[in-house]
Amino acid sequence: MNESHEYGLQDDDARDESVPGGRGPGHGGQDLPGEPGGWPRPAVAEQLLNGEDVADTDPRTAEVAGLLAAARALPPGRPQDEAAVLDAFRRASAAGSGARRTAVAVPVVRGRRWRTARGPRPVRLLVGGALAVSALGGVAIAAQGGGLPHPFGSSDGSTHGPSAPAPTGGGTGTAPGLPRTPGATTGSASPSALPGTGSPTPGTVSPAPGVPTATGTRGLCEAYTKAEREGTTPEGSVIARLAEAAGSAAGVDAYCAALTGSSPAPGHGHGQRTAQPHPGASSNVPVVPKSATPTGASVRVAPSAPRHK
Amino acid sequence: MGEARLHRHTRMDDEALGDAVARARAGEEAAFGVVYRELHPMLLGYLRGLIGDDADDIASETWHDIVRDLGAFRGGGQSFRGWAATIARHRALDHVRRGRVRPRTTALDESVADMVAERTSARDSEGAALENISTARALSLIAELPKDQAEAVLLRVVLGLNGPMAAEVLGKRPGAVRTASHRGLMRLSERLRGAEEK
Repeated sequence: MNESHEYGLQDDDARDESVPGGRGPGHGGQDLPGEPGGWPRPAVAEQLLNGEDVADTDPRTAEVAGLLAAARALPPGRPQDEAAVLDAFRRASAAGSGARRTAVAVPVVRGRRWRTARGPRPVRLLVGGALAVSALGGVAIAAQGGGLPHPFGSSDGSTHGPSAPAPTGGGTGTAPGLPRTPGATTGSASPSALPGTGSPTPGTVSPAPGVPTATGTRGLCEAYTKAEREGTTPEGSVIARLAEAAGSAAGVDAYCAALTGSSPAPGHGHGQRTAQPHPGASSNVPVVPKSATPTGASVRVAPSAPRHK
Repeated sequence: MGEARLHRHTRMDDEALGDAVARARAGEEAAFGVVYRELHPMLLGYLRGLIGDDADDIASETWHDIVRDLGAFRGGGQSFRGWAATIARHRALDHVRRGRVRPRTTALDESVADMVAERTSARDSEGAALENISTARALSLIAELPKDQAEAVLLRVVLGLNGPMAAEVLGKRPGAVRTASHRGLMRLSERLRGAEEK
């Protein structure tokens, strides 16, 4: 279990199996799946991955099926998290019935995927991607040295546009009511945070500095922010009015941050977020990303930089 | 671990999930609760495989993003799983990038197992704690795979994504993800066998 593994620096095309020490005992690399005599056969592998019952006499099949079944037996999360999310949902819905429907731009059906439509920004993405790659490269290296026990050191998946509906970078990162909101606006600061991907709720974006109707709501914002800081729930009426002012419940954080100047990163999260929300496009099954797009291509190349250490 | 008869999370089928998502989008709180309880454990498992201890926090962030953007989501159950996974994944990446993942030299097993056992023993009766120790171990074994394999296996197994959707989330070619996931299984088997021999 403590064989040395290499996390992160390789992308999908890299031959992970060539990593020294990564192989189990008694295998020299010729027993690859799909090869004659190799386990698992592709059909078996797919059945295992699908969680289907597999009729296979090889004992390895049952062993791995057991392992995967265990991995699926997931415990529930923290009750307080559920409460917080449900609460956020409630508030978003309350605000949504009025303000949100009108304030939120209609999703643009452009492309066939559920990621957000967004303007061209290949350059930013490229730069962001490069930064992310170096940052993550460092993590990955650290992982190798320090035994960071998870696979998430690499950037190869992180920055390609195609798979990025990610509100991650969204100016509002988190919704009101979540104690951890301070990170909300900061999240948007990250250059590789898939600019534009994050902003399916324009409401979060609009209340940038210079919001005209600001004065009256400042007090509300202060109350709201204070409650947030103290981890208490702001009063419903406060939230409702702020949500109205902000355009959506989800936009309250950004709105207040802009208004009170308390934003950790006031410059982010607005202006450039022209993206329209629209994870959905029209299909239920998103089409495979066209990785040949400029963004996809640029990012795909990037990871090779830190790879040779 | 010869037996494959462990408790299996009975997963909603995609149609039912898609239906719940649609109702949640329309503002139905109960439906959102259904979606949450269906997906949250999976997101947690996935995130635990990616970033370990901070999974709960990042899952929370993910959900708040989901709530915020739900109105704009279009798609069925499978695509919702993929969407949520993508958000979680980017959240996790942000987290990593912010340097908030502390490198740990201790094995993931211990910390996660302890945490999970603690959590579940407090809540469940019927020996769920035991089962969840194996869950933690299983997740940690998967997490120790080479990254591309680990992610592919987690998405397929824990989140219930089909191959194309997993590829979509990872932004990779389906063939590459398929290969990675198959190799991951092979390596998991080797790990298991290696562990048993000790």
